[in-house]
Amino acid sequence: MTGLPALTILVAMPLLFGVATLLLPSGNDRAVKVLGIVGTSAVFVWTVLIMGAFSTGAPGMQFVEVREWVPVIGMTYHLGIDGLSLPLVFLASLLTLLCAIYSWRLKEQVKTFFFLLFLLQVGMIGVFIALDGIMFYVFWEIVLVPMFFMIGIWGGERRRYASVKFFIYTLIGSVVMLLGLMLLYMWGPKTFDLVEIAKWGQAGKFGMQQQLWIYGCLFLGFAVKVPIFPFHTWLPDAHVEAPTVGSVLLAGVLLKMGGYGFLRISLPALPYAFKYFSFSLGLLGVIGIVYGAAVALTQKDLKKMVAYSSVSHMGFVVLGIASATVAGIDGAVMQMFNHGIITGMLFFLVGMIYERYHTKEIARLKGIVTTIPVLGVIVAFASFASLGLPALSGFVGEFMTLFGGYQAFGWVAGISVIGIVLTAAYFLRMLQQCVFSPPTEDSAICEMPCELRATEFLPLVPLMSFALFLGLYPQPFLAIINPAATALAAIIGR
Amino acid sequence: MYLNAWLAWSPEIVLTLAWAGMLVCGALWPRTHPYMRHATLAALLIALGLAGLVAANAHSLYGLYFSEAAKLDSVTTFGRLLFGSAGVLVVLASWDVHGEENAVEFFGLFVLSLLGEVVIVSGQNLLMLFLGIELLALPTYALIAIHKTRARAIAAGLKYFLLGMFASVVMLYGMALLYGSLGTISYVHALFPDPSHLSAARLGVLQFAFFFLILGLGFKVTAFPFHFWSPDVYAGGSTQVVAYISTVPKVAIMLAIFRILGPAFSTGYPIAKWFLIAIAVLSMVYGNIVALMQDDVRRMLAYSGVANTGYMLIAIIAGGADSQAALLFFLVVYTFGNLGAFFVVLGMGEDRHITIGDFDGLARRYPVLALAMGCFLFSLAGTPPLAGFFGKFALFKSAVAHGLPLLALVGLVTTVISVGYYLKIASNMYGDLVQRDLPEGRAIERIPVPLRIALVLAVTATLVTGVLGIPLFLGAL
Repeated sequence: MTGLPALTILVAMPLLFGVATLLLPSGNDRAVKVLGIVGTSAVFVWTVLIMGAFSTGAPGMQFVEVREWVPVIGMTYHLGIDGLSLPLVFLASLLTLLCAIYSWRLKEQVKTFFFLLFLLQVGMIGVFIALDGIMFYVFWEIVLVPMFFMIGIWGGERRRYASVKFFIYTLIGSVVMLLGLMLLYMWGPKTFDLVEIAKWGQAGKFGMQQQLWIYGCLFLGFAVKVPIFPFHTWLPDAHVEAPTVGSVLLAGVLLKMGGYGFLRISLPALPYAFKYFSFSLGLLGVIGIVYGAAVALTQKDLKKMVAYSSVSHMGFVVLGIASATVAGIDGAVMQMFNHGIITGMLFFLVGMIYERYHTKEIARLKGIVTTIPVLGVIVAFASFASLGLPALSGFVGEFMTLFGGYQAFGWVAGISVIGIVLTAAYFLRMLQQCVFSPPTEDSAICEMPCELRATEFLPLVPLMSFALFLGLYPQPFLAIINPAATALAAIIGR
Repeated sequence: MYLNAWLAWSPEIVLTLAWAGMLVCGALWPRTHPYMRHATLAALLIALGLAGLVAANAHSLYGLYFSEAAKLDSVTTFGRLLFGSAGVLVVLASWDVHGEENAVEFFGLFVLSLLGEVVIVSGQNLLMLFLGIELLALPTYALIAIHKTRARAIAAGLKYFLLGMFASVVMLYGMALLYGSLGTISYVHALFPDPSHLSAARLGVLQFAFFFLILGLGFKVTAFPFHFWSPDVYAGGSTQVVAYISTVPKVAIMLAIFRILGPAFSTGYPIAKWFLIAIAVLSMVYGNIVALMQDDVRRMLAYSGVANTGYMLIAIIAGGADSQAALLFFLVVYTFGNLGAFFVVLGMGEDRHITIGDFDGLARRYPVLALAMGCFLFSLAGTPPLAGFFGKFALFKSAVAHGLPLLALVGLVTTVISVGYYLKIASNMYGDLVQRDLPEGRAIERIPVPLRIALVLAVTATLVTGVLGIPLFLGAL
């Protein structure tokens, strides 16, 4: 792989496959699907190759590509990958591939769908490898368009409302973030190169006042995306209306962009402001954990429950980031990856349940395990992984972020234990209600061949394997993340 | 020198000759009426080619002409090329509508107004500016009202004419005041001198005059609160004319404003500057919020035009070379995005109001038309990687770079509001692609081939300037 512009290829591949999808003759849906799976597989294989060539112990960027691009506006072509971004790039490639497989049975507008899927992948991968502020923003925004159409075209009853709300709500955050990036440019080194900006920030050249302003602007963009309480209100609407694949990628990858932004831009460039707001951010994380779990407990809709569980789980990410300790950052990245795996799995499962029972109402779903044993068992597995059962991967991230939070904020971090208890409560209630209780007369009936099809089962296998493997042996991933996390924690001095 | 002048202004000479020829032929031989459109198209293409040749010989041809009344430089060339290309698109869009009836009037007046725009952009004194504006405006009044059978068009034309004349008169008063206090009307070296050499009284008069000047110019570019005519006129005139007057004249006058104000303006004239900032902010806020409430698409685009004027004013307020580059880029983006959106409306039918509801399910029935509209909408909304994003980005960045971050913030936040109405159309078009629970939208007659070509060209321009043109444009300017 030496000599090749590995990252340019990585981000160009889905774009080219997307264009190729459009060029296929219409009417041949099967060819489009085959191309979709081949394309996403190719991107996944390329990601794995990059992961293999990545030298684990080294801090700093690898596979760097820097070129002048538009000097007039201070834009450079700068790509790179490090321990923070590699797990997330891997997550984006993996989940897109699984979504492509899951969509094998899609009947309408197949070409449009796969084009949007590839476009989404361009944005998702691009965000995590861009090291130039403008490129970062462009990829960040590119993601919105396909997701808008995914919700708006394949969504549920209120899809139009939900898609416009999703777009506008996240755009408010992004444009203010863009102002923050411009201020980084103006008050900083007059370039959008994020590495240069980070150097500038660590040399202490941003004034304190300036740091606070910029941090505030960036915060809004990242906070909406994560989402951090109280900026989370777009999430339930978007999730409930989105089609399964949209939900999986929304929860699995898009939410991670916010957390990644904190670590990639705010922390290294604005250490003073980051420290200044560290406690408030941690507190918001804790509130998110408890609030998300409490609201999830009251939900009657299965999908909405999973959506609120995301708010809660992303709270751990925020807590870990805010702590800025090695354990906290390690845990935050770990938790982002795990959340992508586990919540992605949960949304797939909700989609399968909805397809069979035509309802997402918890009260009407009963006895899944007796009707469809495989599905019931996997739902139970995913729920246990999500509620943080030790030996499954959810536990690792939660524990590490809590540990980091405790190091930084003491007992305040301990409040989030309430959230963990509540999480156990709503998942167990749901399992008891929907999966293990015997079906009654008024419960929903499975209305189609109930057994899982291969294209449904296949995406679940790698997700379950990761949840189990990383729960037992997280070391390979931690080894990738740790050098970057150590370097970041050193900036803050923790 | 004489030969040079002939060469340098050859595009305008060609257009003038074409106009005169069309008038004569049209009056003498009615059989030539169907060929007016061909003549206009040919003249525009030749003029575009000549403008390109002139630009290629910039070192020997660029400079001041006609006793420093007109300047040929990169901005003039930019204007020529942009007006010419937009003109070609408008002619294509009008191909069938004005093939026979009113052909001489329509295309003659159209060419005349294009000439007016070049006069505005190249002009170097207030007299040229005024002449250019009138040369541009008088034909457009008539163009709006050219459908003699349609009462709405005539009412719109009359409204446009009366209010436009009023604005011109007020502007002329401002120009007179400027002349009185400065003793010159030339802005070869910036009209507004460094205020440190001026007495307080004269400074006061200057700022007062500036108010009237902006009032007149603001009317033409539909800046708040001088925009009030535009929704009615846009909804009343024929769509291709509205597409034209909502873009090209605005571009010309924006470029002229940029020329007039000059470098000393942004620091030396606080009151005038705050006046401009107020207009820009109100245009962005008011235009976008009111556009959100519109149901008629042409009215919506009228208010979106008000908002876009606000964005353009940001570059003028910021001043400086980078702002100029940003403004020029944004003008290209705006021109093609807006022309394209109007062309789609034109394609959907000319005879009645097109409402947002008419876009229901457009993507299912007319996928290509919907895709084109989506392109224009997302570009106008400023979504990367389309051209609109880089246009707005460059504008806002120039504001931040000149110490106006709050102005950029207003621009950014109102952009989010604008997304609300652009996306409303997009979600209507694509909302029932899979689940068909919407009433059928209106059926569309066959879209004529020339209009299709115009649409394809506009889409291409939007995509190409967005994806490939950034370094080309922003780097070269």
